[in-house]
Amino acid sequence: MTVVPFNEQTPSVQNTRSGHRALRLCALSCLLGTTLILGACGDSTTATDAANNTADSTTQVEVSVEERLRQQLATAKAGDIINIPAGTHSIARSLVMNANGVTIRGAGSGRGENDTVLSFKNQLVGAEGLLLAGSDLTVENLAIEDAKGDGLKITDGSNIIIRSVRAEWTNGPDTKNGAYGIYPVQTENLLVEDNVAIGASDAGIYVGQSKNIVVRNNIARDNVAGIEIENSTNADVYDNLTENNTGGILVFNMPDIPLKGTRTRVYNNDVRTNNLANFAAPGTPVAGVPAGTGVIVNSNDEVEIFDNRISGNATANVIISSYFSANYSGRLKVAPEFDPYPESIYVYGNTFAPGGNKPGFPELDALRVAVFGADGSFPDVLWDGALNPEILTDGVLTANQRICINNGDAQMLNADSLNGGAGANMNMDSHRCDLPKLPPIDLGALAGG
Amino acid sequence: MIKTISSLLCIVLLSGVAACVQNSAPELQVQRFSADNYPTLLSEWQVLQKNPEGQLQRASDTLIYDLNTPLFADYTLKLRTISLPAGTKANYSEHGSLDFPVGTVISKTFYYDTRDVPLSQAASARPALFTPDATTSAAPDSIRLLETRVLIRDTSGWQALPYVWDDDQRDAKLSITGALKTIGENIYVVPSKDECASCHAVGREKVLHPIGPKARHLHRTNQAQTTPSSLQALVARGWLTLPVAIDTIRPNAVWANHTGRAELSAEDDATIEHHARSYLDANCGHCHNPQGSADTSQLFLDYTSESSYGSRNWGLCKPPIAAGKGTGGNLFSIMPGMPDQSILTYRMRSTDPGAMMPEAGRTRVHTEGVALVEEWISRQSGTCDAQGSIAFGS
Repeated sequence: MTVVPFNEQTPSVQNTRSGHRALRLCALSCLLGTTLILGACGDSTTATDAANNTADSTTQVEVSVEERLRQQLATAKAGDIINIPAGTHSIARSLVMNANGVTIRGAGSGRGENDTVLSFKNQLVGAEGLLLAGSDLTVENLAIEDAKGDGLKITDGSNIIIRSVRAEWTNGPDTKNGAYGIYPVQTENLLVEDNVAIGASDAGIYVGQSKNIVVRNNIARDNVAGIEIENSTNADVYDNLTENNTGGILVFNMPDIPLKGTRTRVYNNDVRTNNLANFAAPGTPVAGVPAGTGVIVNSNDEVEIFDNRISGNATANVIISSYFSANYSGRLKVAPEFDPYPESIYVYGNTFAPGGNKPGFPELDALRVAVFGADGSFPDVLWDGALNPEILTDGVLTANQRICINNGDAQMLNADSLNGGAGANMNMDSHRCDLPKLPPIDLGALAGG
Repeated sequence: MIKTISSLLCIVLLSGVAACVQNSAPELQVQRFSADNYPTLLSEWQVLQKNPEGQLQRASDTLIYDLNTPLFADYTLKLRTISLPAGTKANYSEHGSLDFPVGTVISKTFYYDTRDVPLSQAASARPALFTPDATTSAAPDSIRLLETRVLIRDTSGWQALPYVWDDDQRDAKLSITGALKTIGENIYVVPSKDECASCHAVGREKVLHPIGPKARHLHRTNQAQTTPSSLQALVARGWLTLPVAIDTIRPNAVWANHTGRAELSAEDDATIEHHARSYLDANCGHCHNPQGSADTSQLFLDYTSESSYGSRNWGLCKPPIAAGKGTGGNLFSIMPGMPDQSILTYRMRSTDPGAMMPEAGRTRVHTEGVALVEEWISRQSGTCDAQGSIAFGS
């Protein structure tokens, strides 16, 4: 018998009745395009007979990587490891899997012949490259190129690892590129590490509506947003490199979403020269991010930004803003339960190198010229100055709600945006402060520790 | 005498459909299989198969049903059957799918007539595959069966199995990975088993449910009394007992085959709204609801509980969350009065896989569906402007 079972790791259709087994072998062969005598399909032969028939009628089962992978995904069960061989594999339809406890593993995420590249350049249907739903999933060591929509989307699961995945649009920045490179959403206990994201028309790495998150040692460049943590709680973002995006690292909170984002630590990242012209589709939240943004916090609470190396971001190395400044569409129609103001923001210990010299929006540039002169620059931190009047005591936030900039001689401009910049100032008195530090995220064994 | 009547029937049938059918083949009965035993060939279910005469035959214990406004599927035609085990009944549900007992087998067959290629709305004028109560089809040879999706309620829940019809049209084979077919110059997509779940799964546990057989899709009030609605047919068959008076059920609109905006303009606002909401319900609401896979967007288009949603949740002046290029440069899902500036209709008009909606199930634009939703939006008043906003950005 020369036929290799279609899928040894995960027999696609198991059956205890030999007659049906025969039918299945036959049908699978039909699916695979091998030549078969139709009569054999209908005979109640034994499994051995059918296998022999199959063997007689074919010398080699040629299975495209796409079809084989599709079969493996469709039949995946907990404990399966789906290995995708090296090579560039053209995929015509989204790859979809709903299963728990599965590892999808390529041979490498680079661009060499020993790497595994899933190319969606010729994708005909599907809004994602790889779409997974489930818990205890690992995707690693593979590249997803030129997906028509999102590259890798994982939803509705716990204990998710995305490791050494490259999600890239190979034509470079383009509004027509897919929105998100790596897109876990509505997940819990999430590790995103050692990935590369390039060319996304929204965010290279986008963690949405999730809890307990570690995003580390990734590279994001040439995206609108390099790394975005949105409506998520308890996130650690560290040891990443974000460069040449429109904005390097975003910590956002959007209205209309049940999970309110809070408690994110952004530390020990390199965030440099994120000055790429914004190429997001108008109407998307990131379309309101000015080119030249290093780290931006919007409407999010309890965010620590520390020990990063942030340089050359031409609007500002750090921006702290309210929903009112986010330039979203419809931003005034906010549900009452949504808190549009950033509170408990703590910036300390970062190494800043000059930025703020060429803000990405004309209004901001006018403000720069008005306050600092034609050749002047914004300081390292830019704040829109919006405070929630309902929680102020004697005009100031309580100690633990403050925006604290305790970062050597780094300055912050209060742009006083609510008053059209009339009261813009560099008064740091109420901002030279410290906040209680957030605890690290402990993912336990998931993160190897 | 009986023969004479049969002949007469044949003549009558002939005048209406393309062929006269003799019921010579033995009756089929739906076969039921356990989850570890699903057959490779559709014919093994006996739900629907080609009989030895080459005619399409359905099991006598199936009921054909129709939906008021159906899901658009690239202008293909559909045959839907349902079968409950003898002696069982479904439980009624006001909003969700009827709750069918273990052993229920639902099938949905997608097909077209080669004379209608390229397919358009006009194809829907073809007579149904089966005349009422017939178990063999009078369908002409130009009918091409594409796929039959079988939904089975077993002890662990619903299972979805896609069967792809062979080119020779003799039988359909299970293809859990789906397939790409062509209709003329167009692609037709058979979804994989897991792609089925993308629409049929509900909640974090991804529990599969049927989408179509909901009371509001099955019941009709304004049709001739001589033809019972699909809901009434289920009752008549003994497969459902209604715990409510049937006239308290608010049915979705019956898809009206409007050919365009000009024809739509003659309808009153309430009719347009009812038809548009029914259309969005059938085409979007299975994902866009608070338990559906599109809950990440917080755009809810099911047509049952709008009173509990703010208008923003069904799209009015709603900014996108993660639409990416799917915005088409527009700011809101629905910009009242301005269908050309609404994300909803932009995505319905798109065929870019990364921007279009629905994400699955079509590769072409449903011109008539777009026209309906555009007409609805064009009649909405109000504005979404963000006056008084702060110019921190541009």
